[in-house]
Amino acid sequence: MSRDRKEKKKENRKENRKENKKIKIRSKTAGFQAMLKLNIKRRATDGFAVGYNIVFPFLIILLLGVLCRNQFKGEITSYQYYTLVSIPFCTAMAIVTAAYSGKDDAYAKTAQRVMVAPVSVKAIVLCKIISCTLIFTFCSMFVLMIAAMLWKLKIYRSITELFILYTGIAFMVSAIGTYIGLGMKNFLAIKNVMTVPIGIFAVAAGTFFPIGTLSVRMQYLMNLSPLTWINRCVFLVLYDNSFYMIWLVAGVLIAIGATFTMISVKSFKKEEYINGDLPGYEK
Amino acid sequence: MEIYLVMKNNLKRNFLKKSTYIIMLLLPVVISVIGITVNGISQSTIRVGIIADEALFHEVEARLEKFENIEYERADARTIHTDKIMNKYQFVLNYVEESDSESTLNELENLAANGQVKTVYRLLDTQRTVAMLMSVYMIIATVYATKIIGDKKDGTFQRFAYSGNGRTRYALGYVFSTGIIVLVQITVAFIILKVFDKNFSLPLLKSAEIISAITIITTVYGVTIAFLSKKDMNANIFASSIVVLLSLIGGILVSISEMPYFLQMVSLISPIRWIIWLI
Repeated sequence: MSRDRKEKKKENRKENRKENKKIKIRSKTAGFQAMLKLNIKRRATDGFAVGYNIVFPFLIILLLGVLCRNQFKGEITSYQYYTLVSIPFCTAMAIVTAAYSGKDDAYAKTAQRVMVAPVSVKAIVLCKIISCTLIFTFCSMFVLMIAAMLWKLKIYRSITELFILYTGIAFMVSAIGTYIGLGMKNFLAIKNVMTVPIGIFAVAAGTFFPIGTLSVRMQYLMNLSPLTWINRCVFLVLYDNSFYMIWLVAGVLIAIGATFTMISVKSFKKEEYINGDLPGYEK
Repeated sequence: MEIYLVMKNNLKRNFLKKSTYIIMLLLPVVISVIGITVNGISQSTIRVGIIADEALFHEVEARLEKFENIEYERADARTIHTDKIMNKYQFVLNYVEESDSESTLNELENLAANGQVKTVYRLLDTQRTVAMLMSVYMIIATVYATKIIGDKKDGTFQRFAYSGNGRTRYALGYVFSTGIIVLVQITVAFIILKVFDKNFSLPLLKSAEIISAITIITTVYGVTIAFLSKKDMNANIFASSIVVLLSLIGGILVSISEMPYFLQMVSLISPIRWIIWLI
């Protein structure tokens, strides 16, 4: 009799453990989903995210397109050129928005509640990166589609490749931005420091005007800009039917994004995440 | 006296920080280096890509090598459209696919012989560098002037106003303190450019005139934006956005004569255009 009871108790315990595990997983998944929804909502209604990724690229395309329309003849019009180069540039500039998202829980005074909730650090970081990636990719594709219709850009044959490339850029930018955002101490300084190299990269990549050179040294300097490679692979796909480079660049971008995601999870500090008193951080 | 006090206090605050000294020296150096690099990239040569078999390539090479202002290389047929779009080559001699390459080569020889280069940059190197310097300092002056927003928030500004002084005097104090910081930095940048950039050619008196003009315009611009803004962030974003627009219509990127007529008229409001005209 006593053996039977013991066995029954053991079985009950095992079942309880299994159920507890299931409940934990369910609550974690529910927590992750709720966090993700909240972050997507925040990003989608964030004037900065939408402004930087939809309004700003259209402004660049229209202004530079009009200014430089006499300079582009033959292969491509100025509007088509600036559509293709301004989308990656604006996504790169959205690194500020991604950094912003890293701190918005602290600023909204919800960070402490998030820390108490059954949500893992991984989920917190992933929700931020995924929400930014989704919104940035959507904005890029939206601008591309509208601009393609307005200025007769033949993108539809290579739309999958472009989608993957833009997702790669958005993922990398979101991961780096979130990593910086989760650990930053002075938002204004970080914002200014981040935008300067992006501006220099954009100049080198011909975002404001195509800069060409046959000098090996100058070409080497220009190749240091990731935007040079991104712009080049877009043109290769659309105008030279060469797809190898776009897959390679997208792969590298995703790998860099994944690395920064892992670093963000490992270097996550509760104290920094909760701290919302930052100079220059204000809506 | 009040203006002097505001200026003195503001300068004191800035110079108490070690970072101010570093930035004051480092920033002009960085801007000058970028200016020299941009001038280096936009050098006056014609870039030509050649797609041809070995014998034909040597034949074309023999015709082009006598021109110093022509750079040429064998182009890759698989990436030729991309290279052309990204402006690696201004001319392509495609003997494999196009039949009019010979006429293009003749046109090229004429251009090179007459010293004409197909480029949108009609600005002199000095004009471009100074215009770039001014654009950057319009933003930097705003950053320095944004301390006025902090003064408004912590009540310093109100206390100054309650003591019987006008708002204009406080703003003028800021104009002078920001102006001094900007003046020092621009002078350092001019000295670096004069020493290291052989294309930077401005006589001493003209340099003084330009430095004064840039200092006055950038300082007034920065202080006005800072004075009207409620937050640091708004002031910085607003200042940079306006500067980008003013630079574009001011002729940094595309010469004024290449712009549509209505933009040529609009460009009259850009101080960047005035400074280019002054040089």
